[in-house]
Amino acid sequence: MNQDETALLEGAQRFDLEVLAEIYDRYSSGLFQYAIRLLGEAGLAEECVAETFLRFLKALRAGQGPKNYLQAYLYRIAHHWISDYYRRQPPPPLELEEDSHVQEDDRPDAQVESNLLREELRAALARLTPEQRQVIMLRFIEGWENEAVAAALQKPVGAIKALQHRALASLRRILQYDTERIKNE
Amino acid sequence: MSEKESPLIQENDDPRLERLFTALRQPVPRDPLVAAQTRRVFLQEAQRLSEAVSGTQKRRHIGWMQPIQNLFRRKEHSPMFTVFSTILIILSLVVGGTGVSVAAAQSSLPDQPLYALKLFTEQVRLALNKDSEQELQLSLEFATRRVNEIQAMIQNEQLPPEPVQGRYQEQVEQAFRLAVGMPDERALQALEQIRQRLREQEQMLSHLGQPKNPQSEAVLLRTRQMIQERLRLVEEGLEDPARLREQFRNGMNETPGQDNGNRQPTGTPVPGSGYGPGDGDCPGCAATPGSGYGPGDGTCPNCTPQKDASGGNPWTDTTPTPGSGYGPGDGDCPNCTPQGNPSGGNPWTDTTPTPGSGYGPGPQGPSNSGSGKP
Repeated sequence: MNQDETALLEGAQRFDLEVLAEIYDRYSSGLFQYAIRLLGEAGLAEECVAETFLRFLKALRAGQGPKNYLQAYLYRIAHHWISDYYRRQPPPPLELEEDSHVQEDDRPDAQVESNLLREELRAALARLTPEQRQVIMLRFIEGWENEAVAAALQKPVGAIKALQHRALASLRRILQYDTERIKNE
Repeated sequence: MSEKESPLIQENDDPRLERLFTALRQPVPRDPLVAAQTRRVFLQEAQRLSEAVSGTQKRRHIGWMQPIQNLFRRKEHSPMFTVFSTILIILSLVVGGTGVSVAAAQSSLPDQPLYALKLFTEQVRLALNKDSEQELQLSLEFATRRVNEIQAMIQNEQLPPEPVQGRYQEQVEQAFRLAVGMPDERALQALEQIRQRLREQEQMLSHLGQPKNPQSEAVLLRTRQMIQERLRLVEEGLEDPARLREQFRNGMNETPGQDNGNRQPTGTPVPGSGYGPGDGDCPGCAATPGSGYGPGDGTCPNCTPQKDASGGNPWTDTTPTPGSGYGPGDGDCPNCTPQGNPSGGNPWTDTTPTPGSGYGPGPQGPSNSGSGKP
C-alpha cells in the first residue's frame, strides 16, 4: 500500500471530512463504471456506489474499516452488493434492447453493436460465480494486476491465477452455449 | 493499482472474449447532478456519524448519566430520525459491533441511519427511469421493501413507524397508476404482476406470529388489510380494466377502505369550520350559531345542546348545509350523542356528507370535541 493511501485511511478513521471527500472523489467514478458495467442501469449503479460508501462509513464508525488496500476494499463492497442484487433479482435473459447510452456523435451501427456485445457479456458474467465474475471484472475489464485482485478477493495470488483460469473457461462455455441457443431459436 | 483500461492481457488469447471485454470497458457517462447529490448525502452521513463518534467518547467519561442527558439534549438534524432511534443505533453500534457494521443500507430499517440513503437511492432510481414498465417494477420492488421493513421491525419487536405504511401505499398506488396508463393488453399483464407481488407481500406478513406489542399488532393488521383491499382492487381491475382506469382517471386517490362513509377533512381546521379538536377545558366556550359550534366535552353546563321540537339537531330547524360547521362532539358528552335520522343513517343529514362539508360525525375520542377550535 502506498503512503498516499495510508494517509487517506488514517484521515478516514478520524472521520476527517476533507479526507473522506477526497476518497469519494477519487474512487466513486471508477466504482460507478464498475457497477454499471455489471448492472447496466445508471440508477442502480448510483445506488451501488452510494451504499458502498455508506457501508465504508459504517465500518469506520464501528472501528472496523480497512487497514490497507482501500481501493480493493471499496470494490469488494461494491461487488458484494452487486452479487446480492443478482441473487435477489437475476438479470433477464439476453435479448435485443434499445440502449439509452447511445451518444449523438457515435456512429449508430457501431454503438448498437457495442451495446449488444456488452449485453451479451453482462448476461454471461451474471452466470459465473461471484468470485469468478469479480476476477474477470478486475483483471480483464478494470485492468488490475494480480496482486491487487488478490487484495480485493482476500486470496493469495496463486489462488487468483487458478480462479482466473477457471473463470475464463466458464465464460467461454457460457458464451458458446448462448450462441448455440440463439442459433437454434 | 490503477483504474486504467487493460491492454489485451496475455492470459486471455481468445479474440472473441477480448472483443467483448473491449465493449464492456467503454466508459458510460455519469449524470453529474446525481453524482453530486450522492456525494452530498455521503458527506452528510459522514458528518452525522462523526458527531456520533464524539458522543460516544464523551459518554465513556461522564458515566451512566450521559445517555439520559443525551436523550434530552441531542438535536437531530434530520427529521427522519427520532432521538430514541438514534440512541438505539449508537448503542447497537457500540455494543453490537461486528454484525451491524457490515449491514447494508439496502437492508436498513426506518430507525437506522442509512435508511435515509435507502430512500434517497430509491428516488434516484425512479427519477432516472423514464420507462413506465421499469418504473412499475421499481414501484413494486420498493413496496415490497416497505413490507420487508414492517416484517423485520415486528420480528425485532419494534414498532414500525407510520410513514412506512404511507410509503407502501404511495408505491402501490403508483404501480396501479402506471398499470392503468398502459394499453389494455399490457395493463392486464401489469395488473397480474401487481397481484403477484401483493400476494407475496400478504404471504410474508401472514407468516408473522402475533406481535407482543398491541401497537405493532395494529400496524400488522392495518398493513394486511391494506394489502387485501388492494388485492380486491387488482382483481376487479383484471376483470374490468376499463372500469379501473376510469376510477383512476376520475381522481380515485381514495384507496380502498377510505372511500366509504364520511371522511375527515384533510385541510387544516380553521375556527368556525366546525371540525378539528376542541380544547375541552374552556369554561366559556359556549357555542354560538355560526361559530363552528357543536357540543363540547360535556363538562360545560351552559353548552349542552338541547334537541329541538322534532327531536333532531338542536342547533337548527333546517337541514345542515355544507360549510355550516355543526356536527357532533367527542362522544364523551352524555347529552350530545348524535341521534340517527329516521332512516337510521347519518344523524346530521339525510344526504350523503361530502369531505370538507363540515358536518358528519367526528372521530370518537376526547381530542375531537367539535367545538370549532382547531
